[in-house]
Amino acid sequence: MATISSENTFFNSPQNTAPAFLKQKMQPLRENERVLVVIQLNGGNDGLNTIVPFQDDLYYKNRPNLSLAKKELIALDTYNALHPALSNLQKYYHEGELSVIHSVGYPNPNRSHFRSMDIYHSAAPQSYENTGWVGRYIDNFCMPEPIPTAIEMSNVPSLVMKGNEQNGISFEDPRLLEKFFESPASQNLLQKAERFDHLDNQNLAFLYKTLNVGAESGNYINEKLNAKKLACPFPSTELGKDLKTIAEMMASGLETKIYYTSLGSFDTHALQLNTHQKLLQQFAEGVDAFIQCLKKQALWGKTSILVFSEFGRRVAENAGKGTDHGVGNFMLVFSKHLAKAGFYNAQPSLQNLLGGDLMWKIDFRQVYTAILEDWLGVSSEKIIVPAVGKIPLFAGKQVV
Amino acid sequence: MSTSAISHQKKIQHLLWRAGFGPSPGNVGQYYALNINQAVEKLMTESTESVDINSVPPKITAKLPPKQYQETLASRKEYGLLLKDEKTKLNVAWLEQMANTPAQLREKMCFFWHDHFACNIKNPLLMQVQLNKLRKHALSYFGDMLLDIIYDPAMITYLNSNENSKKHPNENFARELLELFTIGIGNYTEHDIKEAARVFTGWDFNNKGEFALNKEEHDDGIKQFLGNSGYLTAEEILQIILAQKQTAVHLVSKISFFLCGKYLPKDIITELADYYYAQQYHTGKLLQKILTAPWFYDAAYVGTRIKSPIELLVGLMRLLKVDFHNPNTALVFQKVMGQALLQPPNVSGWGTGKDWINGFTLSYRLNIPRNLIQKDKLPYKLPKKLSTEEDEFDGDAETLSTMLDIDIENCMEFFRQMPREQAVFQMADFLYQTDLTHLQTFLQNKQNAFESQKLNRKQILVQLLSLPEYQLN
Repeated sequence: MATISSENTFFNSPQNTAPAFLKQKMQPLRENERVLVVIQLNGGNDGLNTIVPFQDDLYYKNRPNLSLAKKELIALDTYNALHPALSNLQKYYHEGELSVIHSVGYPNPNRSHFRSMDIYHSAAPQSYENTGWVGRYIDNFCMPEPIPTAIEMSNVPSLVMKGNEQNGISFEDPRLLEKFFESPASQNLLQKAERFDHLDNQNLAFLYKTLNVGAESGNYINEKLNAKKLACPFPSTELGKDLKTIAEMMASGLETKIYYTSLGSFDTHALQLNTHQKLLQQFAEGVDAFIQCLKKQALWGKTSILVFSEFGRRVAENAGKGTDHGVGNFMLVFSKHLAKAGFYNAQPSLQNLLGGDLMWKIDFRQVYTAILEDWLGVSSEKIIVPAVGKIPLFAGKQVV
Repeated sequence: MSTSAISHQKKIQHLLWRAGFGPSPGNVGQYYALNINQAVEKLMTESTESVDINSVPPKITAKLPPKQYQETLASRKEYGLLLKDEKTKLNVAWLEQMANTPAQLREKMCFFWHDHFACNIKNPLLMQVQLNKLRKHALSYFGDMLLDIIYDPAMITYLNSNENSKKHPNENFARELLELFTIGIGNYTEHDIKEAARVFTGWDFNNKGEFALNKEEHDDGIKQFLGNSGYLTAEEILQIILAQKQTAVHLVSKISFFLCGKYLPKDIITELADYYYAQQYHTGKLLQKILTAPWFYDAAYVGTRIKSPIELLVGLMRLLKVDFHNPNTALVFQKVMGQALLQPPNVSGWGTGKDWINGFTLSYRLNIPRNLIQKDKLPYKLPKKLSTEEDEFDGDAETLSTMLDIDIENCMEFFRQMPREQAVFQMADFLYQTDLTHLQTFLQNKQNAFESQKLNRKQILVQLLSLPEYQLN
């Protein structure tokens, strides 16, 4: 198993090229070098057909049309097998760089896509919050301007990126980011001196500040990107493009802590097999290309990847050869620094269901807390409220 | 905050932005000529009638799809698409009513109540029915509105009242009734929620959209609720809730925040809540009191509130007479900015103020005028996917502006009446509610450019609409 001391090499790696004035503001902690990449599977991925309980008769009984044939599956142990489209990823399991956390959920599961995704974003299953856990991380542990603390690969920001004080930055293409702010309002119309960040009218000052910070972050990211070209192969899928952009930003030395991207829709109510196969293939090819690229760039050691979906699907297939919204699902963590690689816990029982759904056992907030405290090295006190504890996900003695 | 006095013109515009969807070039002159009390009176008078929207065709029914849509998977799917299309048409019918109705105050408050009783279901007929109820009661007794809402099929569906049975109570509606709709959190116990939920057991509606109690699922036992005990009916539950002074405080806080953009000082809230309570929750009377109060026109409240996406869009529609050829176009604007009518994100409604703003949405909001008036393409692509539901936008977003028409003749005629040597300053005074001291150099430069014919009125309009100042009202 990889140990934390291998991270010493990070100090020689290309990401450590922040301008001197920025370095001074950053804490020289190793944890500060670490990066989290989140891949969100939109629409409710069918967990049972992704990591398949291939020796369980109940699986085949519940899914006469949708169950995958044993001979096609990639067996990982005596109970769990990967969907054949995930063949690229089995090596990470065998090399101890993948942890599968089974039965993740939250109290009073909600089957609405929107609400359940909001719950995963806000990390607040019991109340309606207008901030997300990444946003609150930025509120409490932001990088000095103009470094974007968190970046979401979308032109429309999600709740997860919203903080009380500030938001993560969202874009599909960083090279177009500057164009966001090329509006006639910002740089072009007003004189450089007229920045109006500090007017008494606080909301007006906030608007000007948003424009200025956005434009500066855009410039900052693009200056870095222009200085470094990356020669790694990536699939030309949407996820492939997103992950390529993230790899480029990481390799350019951008100090961003969290990258967030998504794939889907996994909302396979009808004729699921073909759609699901294509999506999983896109997922596996993208992630594999990404990790291989990071390895080449000596960036893999400082990276962890979290994969989740807003819910799983029901155990039994429906009449349309698809599956309906369920509760509970697995989470995946790819990293060199896992405490317990492989299957973190036992697979859910197909026998003891709750109204046709799998029982969840691990609260997703315990995974978030582990990532915040033991990977990003920060206190989760103001981010995951109320505290729900954490699971021992990462290896080594962690200091908060 | 500038301590400079707020001009009469600005006060009138303040009233029209907060109690409506902004001044329109067509009738703002009539309002300038009135004092504040008269102007409020005029707004009230113009809102006397409630005009229903009935855009949903009769082939859409309340519950089960009509027979011809039940037969095959394909026909059921077709019905699903029909529901979606008609919901979009209802959205735009409402948007246009907001922009065009003289009953601005009623429509603005209907918008407020839609956020307060936030509801989002797929059936457009039920959404339409609910919306017409909210509009009907928007300016009168809150209790009547509440009574209509507890029997409302859309709300019954949205908050699972039809899954609330004697044996398996579902507390969703009872919880939101107390937490969000009336008393507010902290003024009742979990036991009160459980007991109230028992009252609403067996709730359902028929295929005509009429309320229908499922007697077998209804719990008709004795309930204890907020210190009362007995065979309480739904009406009695509402009476008990309305008898709590805290209900008036909660509603007044929310209504005044909507109008002012800030939470008011406690003594004003108390005074207004006392009044609302004494007037038996008559919303029109409360509004009259707020809108005629001198503090409502204090510099702290004028030009300091970030427009919600709907306010921004409808305000522009009033100015530029936008004609969306295709309802989906109008929906895209709303979705990109994060606020689509009839689709609040959850039962607690939309965010406010800064919640609307990030680098992307702000950039988009600032680009809209250029996009609408000059037909300039946006400098970037809009996302293909605007949500995680199976609800993808499939038009070419870059060419949005070619999918609609505007008619700015009225607006330009209004600007042409402004004296040449003051044109830019007067346009700014009409378009902006913020204090403009910081913009004097900018405005003078534009005035010079106008006088030397480097810029015309239309170009100046685009530039003024593109500054962050226009994002506030």
